Amino acid sequence: MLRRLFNSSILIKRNASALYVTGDKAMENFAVLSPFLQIDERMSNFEEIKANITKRKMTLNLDELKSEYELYADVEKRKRELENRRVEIVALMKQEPSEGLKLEGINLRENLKKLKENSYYLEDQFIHNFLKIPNYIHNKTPANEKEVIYSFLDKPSDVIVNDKIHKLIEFYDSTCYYMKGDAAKFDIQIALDVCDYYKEAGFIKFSNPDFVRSIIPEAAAVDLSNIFLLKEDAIENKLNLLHLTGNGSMLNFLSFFAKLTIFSTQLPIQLISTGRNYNSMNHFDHQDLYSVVQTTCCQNFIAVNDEKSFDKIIEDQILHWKNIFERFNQHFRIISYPAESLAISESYKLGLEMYSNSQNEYIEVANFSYYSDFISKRLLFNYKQDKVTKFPHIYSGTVMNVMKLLINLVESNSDLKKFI
Amino acid sequence: MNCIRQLRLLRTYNTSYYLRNKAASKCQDKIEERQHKFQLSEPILNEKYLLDPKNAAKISENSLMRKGIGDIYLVHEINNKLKDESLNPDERRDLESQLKNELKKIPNDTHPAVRNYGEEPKVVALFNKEPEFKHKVYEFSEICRKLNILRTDHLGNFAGHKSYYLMNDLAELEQALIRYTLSEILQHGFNLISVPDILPAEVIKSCGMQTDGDRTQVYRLLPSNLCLSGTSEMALAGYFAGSKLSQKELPIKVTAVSRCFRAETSGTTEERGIYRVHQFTKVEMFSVCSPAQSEDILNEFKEIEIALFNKLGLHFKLLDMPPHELGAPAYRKYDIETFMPGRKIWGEISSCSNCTDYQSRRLNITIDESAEFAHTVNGTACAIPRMLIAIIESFQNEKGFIEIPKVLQPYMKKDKIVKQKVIPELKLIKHAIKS
Repeated sequence: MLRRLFNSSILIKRNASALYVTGDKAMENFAVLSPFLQIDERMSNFEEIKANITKRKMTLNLDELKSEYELYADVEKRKRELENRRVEIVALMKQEPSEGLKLEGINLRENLKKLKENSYYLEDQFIHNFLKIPNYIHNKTPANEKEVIYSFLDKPSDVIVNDKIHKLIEFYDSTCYYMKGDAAKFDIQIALDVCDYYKEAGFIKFSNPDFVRSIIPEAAAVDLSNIFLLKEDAIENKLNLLHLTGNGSMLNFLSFFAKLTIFSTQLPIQLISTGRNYNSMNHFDHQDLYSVVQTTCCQNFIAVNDEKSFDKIIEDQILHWKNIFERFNQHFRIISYPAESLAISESYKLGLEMYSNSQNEYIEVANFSYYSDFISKRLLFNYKQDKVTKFPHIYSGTVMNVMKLLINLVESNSDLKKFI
Repeated sequence: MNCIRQLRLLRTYNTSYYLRNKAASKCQDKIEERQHKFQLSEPILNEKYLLDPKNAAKISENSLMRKGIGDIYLVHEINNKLKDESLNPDERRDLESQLKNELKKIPNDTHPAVRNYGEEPKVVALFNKEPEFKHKVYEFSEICRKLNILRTDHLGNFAGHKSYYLMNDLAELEQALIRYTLSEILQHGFNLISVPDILPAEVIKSCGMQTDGDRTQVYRLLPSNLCLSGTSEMALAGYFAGSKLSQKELPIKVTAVSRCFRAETSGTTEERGIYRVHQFTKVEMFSVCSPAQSEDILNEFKEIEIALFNKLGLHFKLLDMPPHELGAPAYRKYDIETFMPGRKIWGEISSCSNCTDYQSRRLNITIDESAEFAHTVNGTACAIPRMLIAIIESFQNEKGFIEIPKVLQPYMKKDKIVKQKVIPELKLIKHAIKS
């Protein structure tokens, strides 16, 4: 097995994580936390992982993962054995010291040290792939197709697309555009109104930072190559890099909760924020206003004790959307996404879609996801109940992408003035 | 121990982990060479005036007074060298490029009224009474800690250095300030415009900011040529770059609410907390106008700022800034400082500058009819973090509440900020959790 791993090309590059920092790197890179990963428990149910990634249509080499795990587990077992024997020897030496025992002790210590030093690479390799194992899929997640949960008005037919949008938005490229007149007012005011709505519904307003360090996207299983990276001094030697995501992004709520210990009585926590979302995946040459880098978003965040309140929270979210979106008097539908559309950390996901006549398809203008305790465990966001450490279940969503809503309304001849 | 030997062999194949970082940003490579649509050009400086030896003494006196970096005598020296006809083409090109660089460093002229101010700004006026307290006066972060409305601690490893979360009523105060400021300034004929926060490095350079080097204040995205905007003035300048405006369109007055990113930092006690941060929201005013209008526009901006802070009830002073505080672009600049009783300092919360044609020459903004360069004026209507400090410190009362200024109350639907126990106090886990 070792030989097979040795020969495979993956060994050319070492994968290092900012979330799970191995001992050798801890010398120069501060290990911010030790994620609660329950590796053995998750790997023991290999059939579930297999079914999960099949449903999600993910490409993950399970055979490789399994063999890496076996090797990792083997080394871990060996480490434990050596450690146990070392403890034994210390005890024996106290009772009856002997030269033989002393030599064995020295040898053991050396071997343990060498084993640790030499297994860091394997640990990195396995953890890198282990962190890609997706969250459990909620049983309400449809298997193959989007499921329409609610629909408001009928899908518009034969509507002439209003091209007024180009008068309201001066488009330079996917990163740079300027909104003018009512569009600029709408962009600011609607976002603030949505925050006010959620506040009335019991949410607390938050204003978040724009940057996150790598540990946060890693904990949320977001691919680091999909978010903006910022230049910093001595960046070559750092693991925990700085990224721009925007204060209206879900990741920027997570930095607040990393390592946070709370009381169970403080749950549920319900927060709402508004701000920018900078999406680096849209940073390429195109003319599509629906996929620009910078958008104003409203993002909510809910933490609860466990999965029991799932139905209630989803029901509430649908109600909030009805209250907010029906006033625009345009067709929209609320859907639940099939497993293949879920991100690694998502267990269930709702989307609110509006029909775009220019694109001839439904465009997502809002979403809301259930992450169970997947991210909490990785970031050690925890609470104590009866002296036991537990991990809150998290829900979060871009409950409105203001830019997408605005374009859709203008396209369909709505007068923005009515809403500002 | 066979296992160990094999593992040791494996280890020799380890390349260092920073390779990962290169891989992380690889997907951004493909877009780097793209051209942006900003109509940027080389600065069109007033060479006729600058290269006339008769003006050298006056220009030099101005540069010295402003303590800037420009040296007009060096400009003339290079210009004289260029008159030598025996220069080979390479030497000529080098000298021309040097001349261009040195010319760019010459600062704007200075308003006659401020030339004799010396080192100190002139206090033009004081507004509202200094707040009086019969109780111990607390500093912003102490008050916020008690009210549990701000978090700045233990965020460096998760959200970067000097990050902050505004929570609950403090986040509401931020939103109220944005709404209040906009509702006030939109009454003065401004057009609201939304601007990009991420800009090509060239746009930022055209505003006179360096984007490379160790001491840059500009954040750069890797490995692209994109930078984070330090103020919406940069995006607005880029927006108007290359414009030929009709006299009857002027003055154009725009306002923008944007996120501002600044790499600068500060370690002084006075600037502790969120006084100087890397990211914040700001409402900015900007005008492109004719040379005859710029002085009036500056006065208008100044009056708008005074009215905004006056209605909030802050104790502040208006300063007419002396030459050495103008930087290179401003012809005249007013600062507004408010008294922050908690930290017992006067802190700058706003300013407005008339840059005359300094920016428009660099951005090629002209007036169609007269072919003159337009003038630009800019001003801060509301920079959130310092406004929060000023309000929280000025309106604390003996019971530990914050009395919300009357003009903000309709937006917050309450009149005071009190402690609420809804957000968990900061308590972080210290040990690893065992499975």
